[in-house]
Amino acid sequence: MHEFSIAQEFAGAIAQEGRKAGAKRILRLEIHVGRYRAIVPETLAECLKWILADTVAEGAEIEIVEIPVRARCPQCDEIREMEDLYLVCSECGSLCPEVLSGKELLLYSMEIED
Amino acid sequence: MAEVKLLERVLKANEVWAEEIRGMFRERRIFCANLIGSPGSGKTTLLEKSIPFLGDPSGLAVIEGDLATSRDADRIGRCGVDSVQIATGTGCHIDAHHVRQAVDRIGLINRRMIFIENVGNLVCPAQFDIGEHAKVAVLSVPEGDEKPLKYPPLFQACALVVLTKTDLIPYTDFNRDEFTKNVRLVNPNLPVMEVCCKTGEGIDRWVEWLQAQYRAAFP
Repeated sequence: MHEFSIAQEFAGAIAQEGRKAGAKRILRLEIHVGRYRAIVPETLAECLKWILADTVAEGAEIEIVEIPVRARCPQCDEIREMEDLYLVCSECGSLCPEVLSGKELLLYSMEIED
Repeated sequence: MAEVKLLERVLKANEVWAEEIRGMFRERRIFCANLIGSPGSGKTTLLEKSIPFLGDPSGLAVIEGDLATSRDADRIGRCGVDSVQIATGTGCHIDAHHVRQAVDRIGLINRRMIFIENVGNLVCPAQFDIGEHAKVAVLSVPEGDEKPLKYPPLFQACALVVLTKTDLIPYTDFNRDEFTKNVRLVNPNLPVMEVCCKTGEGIDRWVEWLQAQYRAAFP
C-alpha cells in the first residue's frame, strides 16, 4: 500500500521528465530508494509497471537501487552504515539520530527513444 | 536512444508545499500537531476529549485523513469544531499538498491550533513533512508494548507518544516498563504520556503539553 502511493509519485515525475525530454518512449528507468523509507523494491517495481501501463513508459525496464542508511555516530564521531532501522552504531551501540543518507526517493535516470 | 540523467527528487513538491504551510502557520501564530497512529488507536477520541479544554472552539480546526467516509470529521463537527475530511482514496498517508488544500477549505483566520489526524498507519505518515510543528504518535494498549521496535521511524520522528486505553492494561499482557524501555531504545529522549479517554485520566497532561508547545512555538 505504501509502495503504491510512492509509485504514483514516481509515475508523475516520470511523465513530467518524459515530456521535458521529448521522449516518444521510455525504455529504462533507474530509481534510487533509501532503505530508511521502508520500501520493498519488488513491490514498488510491480506497482510502477501497473501504473505505467498505457503511458510512454509502458514496458520500461525498471531498476531499483537501494541506498543504505548512513548516520553519524555522536559517540565515535564517525559516519556509520546502519544495519536496520534502529539507527544504532555497529561499533559502540550509541543511537545515531542524524541520518545522512537512506531517505532518498530519486528518479535517477532514464533511457528514452526521442 | 538517449540516456537522460535526472536526479529528480520525487517528493520535492511535498517539501515545497510543507514549507509554504509552515510559513502560513508561523505568520498566523497557529500551532499544528500531526497525530499518527494505527486505525482504532483512539486518535479521534483523544481529540474529542481534549477539545473542551482547549479554549474557544472557533480557534481550533481538525483536518481528518481517511481512505473513505467523513465519519471522523462528523464526530469532530459535533464537538463544535470546524473540520475537513480528506479522503485519500488509495493513498496511505496525508501529504503536504492535501494539507495545503484542506487549509484553504477550512480557513486560518483566528485559529490557534490545528490538528491533523493522519490516515491510520504506523509506516508512511512518519516519513512526510506536512508543515506541522510536531508529530505525535498515538498508540493504544491493545496494540502491544513492542510496537516501537517494529516501527522505529515513527518513534524517531515524533515529539511525544500518547499511550491510550490505559484502562485496558489489566486485561492485556501490555507491560509499561517494557513499553518505556522499547521507546527509549528507539528514541532515548521521547516522552511518553498515558491517557485514558474513558475516564479522562491524563487528558489534563496532554492539554498542558499542547499549550506548552504553543508557547514554545510563539513566545
